[in-house]
Amino acid sequence: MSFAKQNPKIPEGINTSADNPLKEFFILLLGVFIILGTTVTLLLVFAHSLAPYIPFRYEQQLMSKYGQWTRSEPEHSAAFQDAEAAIQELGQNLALQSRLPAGISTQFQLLDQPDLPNAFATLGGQIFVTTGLLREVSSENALAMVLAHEIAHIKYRHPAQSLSGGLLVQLFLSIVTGGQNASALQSTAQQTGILTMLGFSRKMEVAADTAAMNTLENYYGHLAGTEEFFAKILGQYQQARWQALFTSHPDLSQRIDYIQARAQSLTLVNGAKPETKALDPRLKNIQEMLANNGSQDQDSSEYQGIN
Amino acid sequence: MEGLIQLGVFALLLGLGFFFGRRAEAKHYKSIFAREDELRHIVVSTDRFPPTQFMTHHGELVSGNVVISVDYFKRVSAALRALVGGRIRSYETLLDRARREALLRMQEQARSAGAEAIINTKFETSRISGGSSKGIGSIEVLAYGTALTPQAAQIKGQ
Repeated sequence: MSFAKQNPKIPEGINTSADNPLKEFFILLLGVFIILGTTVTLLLVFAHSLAPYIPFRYEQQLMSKYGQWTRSEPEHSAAFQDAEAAIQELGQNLALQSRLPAGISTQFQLLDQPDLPNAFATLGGQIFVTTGLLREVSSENALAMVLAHEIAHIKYRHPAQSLSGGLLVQLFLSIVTGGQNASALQSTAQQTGILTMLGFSRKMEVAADTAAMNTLENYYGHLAGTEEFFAKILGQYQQARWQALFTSHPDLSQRIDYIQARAQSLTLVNGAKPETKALDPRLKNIQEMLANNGSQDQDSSEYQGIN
Repeated sequence: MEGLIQLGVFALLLGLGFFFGRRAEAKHYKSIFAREDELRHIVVSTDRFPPTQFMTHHGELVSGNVVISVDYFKRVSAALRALVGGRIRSYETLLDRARREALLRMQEQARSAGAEAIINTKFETSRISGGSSKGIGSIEVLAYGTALTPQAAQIKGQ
């Protein structure tokens, strides 16, 4: 056997390819995005159309577990409890006018967050209102608009829709990426919906606004004072235009215009200028308490939006 | 907003990985080509037994190993490829470079020992990634074989 005098020159391009790696990368990226995007969209549509068929009592059962968890909070003052009862009364009256489907009920709770004007609806028909919101309203109509808006979310099963949609998408993504397993999923489930506020889409918000105005029309016969809360928030926090693109909430001023347009068309039909109703004395009471307690840090508060 | 920042960081890492990874690769290939030409006279073979003209040569173990890291761009590209399957081109150049570099280092060791040829060459490849799936992985290639040194050189060396 003879031996070569020297090593041969290896031809290039057998074990590697000379193609630009960017080309392959972008083709793959585009393909994956299209497939993932389509699947996520399908999952969301699927969840949104089927979520209203989830029995409402499942939501309530889920929330009752969470309820035990919140009950451990310190006892509130008598004024706070009175205010909560007043909101509960107003809310239930509005719920009667909202034409809720059979089996669906609402429950109102006051949260002691004086610096955060906010209200949100979550699973099981639970609606939370912060004391900061009470501070911002001057008439019952303004408060009723917010409550009716949240009732409408419950009516259309929006919390179930966004929670199940979010969960399905998270589940899908974690299967695809492979990394996360059950424990990560659990924390995501908690984050997405039960313990935190739910994010609703613009479409949901607009639907809730419309339904809320229907409710108020039935309840008061007019829409005077409805846009007050939104107008106040706009004046205080001046939501930037570009922000509206990124948040799920419709542009505040757009919302106000919409509400005002509807309110005006109604007044023209009725002729006389309608009057707003004064706040319940129990709510007035807590408003005064809050005003005395510390309005110095009002500017540092951050508007989170009405979900 | 937070999502945008995350996306920006991702794109930055990707860009850095692509730019520096590609530069390092081109440089490495250039050096590989030059050194392969330089060391062409040290014949590397996989024969298990020395050919007749080397029967009286002295045999000695020589080895060369190299560790090369994957850049971020290659890793992401490979992860995308792993979703749909197929040739992971971004890792192919990596292994090619590592294999040739390991051979060159082995040849260099043989040259400094005064050897004329290396027989029974073998390769080992292993992955070094620190045990976590998150970190950027690197590969190690080890080439080893038996260097054949003429007796005269062997005696002179001692």
